[in-house]
Amino acid sequence: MFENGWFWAALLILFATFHVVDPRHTRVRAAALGLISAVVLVVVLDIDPWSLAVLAAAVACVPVGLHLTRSLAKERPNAAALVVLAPVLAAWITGKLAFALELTPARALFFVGFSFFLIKAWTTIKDVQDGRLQRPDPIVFVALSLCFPTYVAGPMHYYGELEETLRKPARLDGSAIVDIVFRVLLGLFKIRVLTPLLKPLSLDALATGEVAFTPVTLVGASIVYSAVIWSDFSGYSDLAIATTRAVGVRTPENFAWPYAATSVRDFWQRWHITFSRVLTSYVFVPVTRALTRKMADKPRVVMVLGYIATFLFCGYWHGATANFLIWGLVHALAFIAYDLYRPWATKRRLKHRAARGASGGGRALAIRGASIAGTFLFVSLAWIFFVLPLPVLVEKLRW
Amino acid sequence: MVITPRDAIFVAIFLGGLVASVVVLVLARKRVARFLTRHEWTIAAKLGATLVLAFLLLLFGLAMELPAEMFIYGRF
Repeated sequence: MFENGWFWAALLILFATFHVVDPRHTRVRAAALGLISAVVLVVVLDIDPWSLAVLAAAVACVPVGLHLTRSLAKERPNAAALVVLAPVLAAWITGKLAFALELTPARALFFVGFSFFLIKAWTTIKDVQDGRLQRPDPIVFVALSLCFPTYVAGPMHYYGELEETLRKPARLDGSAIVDIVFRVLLGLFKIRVLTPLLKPLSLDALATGEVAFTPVTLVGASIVYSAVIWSDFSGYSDLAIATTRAVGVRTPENFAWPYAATSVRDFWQRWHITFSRVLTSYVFVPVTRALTRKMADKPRVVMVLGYIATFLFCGYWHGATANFLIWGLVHALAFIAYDLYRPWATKRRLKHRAARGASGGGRALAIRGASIAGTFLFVSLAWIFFVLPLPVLVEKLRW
Repeated sequence: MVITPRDAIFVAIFLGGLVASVVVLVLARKRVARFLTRHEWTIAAKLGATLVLAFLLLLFGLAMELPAEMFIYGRF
């Protein structure tokens, strides 16, 4: 997307349009963003007409559904939210599965960016039904769904965030220009230099057979893959954040030094932030709330089921094959283990601090270092399931 | 890929220079801090990093897109 000249031409046109249109005319600005994005998606992504029709239907489905279910939403907000989401969710699940299994007619239901659109649709619908959002503007919703710099790989805005930044655009002063140029070059450096340099030593090389498959190379390649996936993904986020900022649109950060995380929970607060915040607030919380109503006396069971449901969704969101589900499950199990371990560790730490006083900075530093190393190793090894298809892994593990 | 002694010397000088600059900046940080405000230092660092990134992207682009025979020392 960012290496296509049409992208930069469209960005220039959007910049000029936003410069001319007063921020008070939010709908006009949103319409310009939506329209230019639609043209870019057709020209740059070369989406086939059938997928384009599915995309248009999916985008139209949300405002229409919200309008039709308004009376139901007053009495049963959760049911109304699910009714609006159901057609989009059904198309996404079927299309994604058909895409993974290469089922020809049904795979047309899946288009590039559908998974990101699903999140934008779900968060908007839920915000309306929970009363955080009053009557979303269909034009702003179209702009949110199609916003071209963030369309393929995020970061994902919430409806409220995009509407606010269209109404109150970010100022473009000298400091912002320096930041934008730096961010664009940093993104390009990550994508064009770091990623291609490291990729031949990562899990991708094991998958293609370029590197011999042994326990040592598997661990080594998974560690290198940690760098590759961060460099590639955060590079795209850098470019998306910088280019939207150039037209006055603030885009939320997507990464915050993820490999400096001290636990798996901390990792998910630093990795793909615009997705993980959705997992927390729009999947885990509703699921555990619903479960608590049925089994209030079993909080641990609720917690375990909540994590498993959330991370199975997370795995399926990334890909409809067994390896992605296992990857999600591995992270869910790590969360469960961490939540069970944390109260015990806190109690132990407090006891230790009471016995030795407030000193012991060296020990705390060592624990922190070990936590960072342990989390990094866990996340790296979990990428094995993310990259290698299950049949390949099973076959290769018979050393 | 062939790494000549000249390459190794260049890399060593580059890394040595980088480490020396950082050490000087850390040792003289109190004096250096007085020149500019924190915000101005951030902008200056970003400008410096922008130049380095642009240079690296250019070099990497040349290395990837042009045939190796063109990289004859002094005659590029």
